Amino acid sequence: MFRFSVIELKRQLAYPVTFIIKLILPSIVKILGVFLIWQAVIYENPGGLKDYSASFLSGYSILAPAIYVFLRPEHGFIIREVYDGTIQRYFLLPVSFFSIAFSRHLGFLIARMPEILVAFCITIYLSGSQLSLFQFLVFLCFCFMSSILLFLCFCAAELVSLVLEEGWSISHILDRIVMVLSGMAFPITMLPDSALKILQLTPFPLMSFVPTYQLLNPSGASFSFEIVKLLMLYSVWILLFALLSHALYETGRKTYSPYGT
Amino acid sequence: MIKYLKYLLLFSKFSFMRTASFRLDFWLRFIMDSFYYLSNIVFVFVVYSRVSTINTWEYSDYLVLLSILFLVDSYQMTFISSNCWSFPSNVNTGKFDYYLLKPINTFFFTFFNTVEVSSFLNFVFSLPFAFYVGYINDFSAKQILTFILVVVLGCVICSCLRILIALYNLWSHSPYGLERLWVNLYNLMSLPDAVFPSALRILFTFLLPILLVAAIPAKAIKENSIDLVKALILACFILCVLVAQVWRTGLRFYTSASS
Repeated sequence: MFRFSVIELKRQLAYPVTFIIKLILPSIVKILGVFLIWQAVIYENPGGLKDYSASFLSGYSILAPAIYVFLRPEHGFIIREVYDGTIQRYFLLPVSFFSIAFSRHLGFLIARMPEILVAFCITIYLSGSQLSLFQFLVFLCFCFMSSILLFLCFCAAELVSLVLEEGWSISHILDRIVMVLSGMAFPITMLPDSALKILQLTPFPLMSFVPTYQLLNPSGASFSFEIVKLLMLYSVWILLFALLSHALYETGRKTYSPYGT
Repeated sequence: MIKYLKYLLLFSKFSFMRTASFRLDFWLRFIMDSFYYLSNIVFVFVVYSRVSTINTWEYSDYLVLLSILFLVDSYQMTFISSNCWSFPSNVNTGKFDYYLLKPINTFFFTFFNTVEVSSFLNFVFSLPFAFYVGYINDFSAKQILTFILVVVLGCVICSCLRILIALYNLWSHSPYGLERLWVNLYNLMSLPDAVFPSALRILFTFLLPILLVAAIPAKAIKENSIDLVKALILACFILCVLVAQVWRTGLRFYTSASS
């Protein structure tokens, strides 16, 4: 696993210009879109909105999109291999497909670490929050869990292409759903109560809203049962998506006919 | 002109035949774009459930912006997008060489040879939405005409920008080019110009004029400004000239992938 992570890290950093154009610039533009609209809202409401202070919204508008764009796997990380047929090498290798894919995802995350750190520092500066060590560690833990959850969720969506030979649209649809329902663009607590109740039964809030809220909410500074509950929720959803991905991979492996063979 | 319309009809026929072979893809593409439209509407709805205006832009004004953006997007997804997506890989793999040899205008063939029939369905969403927005804003006849004009101008400006971004590959030869950047620039196109700080507003109005696609057209309707419409026509003309110039320079610079 370590070797695959290192190879992926080297691959990402081998072409710095491509890395900047393909990953950093689009991410900045995406975060900028969310940040600008909330800054305009804060400009008109300097005292903040009901239930949300201006500093919270400022910090949220940077960190929530940053968590999503930096922690999610690269778009098409499986589909491309399905389409060009290179995925068949995993069928022959004596290593699990998922361990290789996850190692590569880790390498990808390490390459993006400086961006995550910059986003984190800007958030802390804008929100002016006083971080405790405990809060920071729980935030890191939630981010790591979110990363695994995002990886497995997109893994499942992209592995559909092994079964149906159609995956791009499904992956894009999931991307759009996650962007709205994960709280990437706005705190999900702004949704009507009935919608929020339904949303809490899904894994989406765990992907961006939960880590962001943990860092920016003052009540996240001390231990509470809520944190344990959230960690358990993460584990359950990770397990479910792992099982789904595994089932899709095994089904697809049996039916897949590689392109060109 | 009629010759090229006939070609376009022929390309549409081929695209329809191809699409008919991949029916699941056809519907999934439509669902994918519908989700894009819906996510924008949900975002605007949530923000305006907390505030009444965003820098003088009211909810109804924002919907005008979105309706223009959706119509422009429906057009560009149908006619331009697939061709621009495939352009970097065509240049990268050398397939573009064969385009140059065809006895047809290379520019037209490169950027209009695929008509995405599934994306044409997006008009099923964007047109009724535009009618709805016109209804709730109680558009006058003059505003309706301005709306149609700015949508057409938005389509031309968006196509020019999209093609300019794709043409960058004649120099970079990268298999992906600036495609991802373009996709994310779409997020900024859905914002009113008033939310941009002045430096960014200048950047996105004059240097990388993405605000001219939907934000400024919506502002022209909001403020009933003929001057803004004239500015859009001028920008449209400049961008068309720029695209033609960059295309000619790019072709002179182009060396095949195998050379």
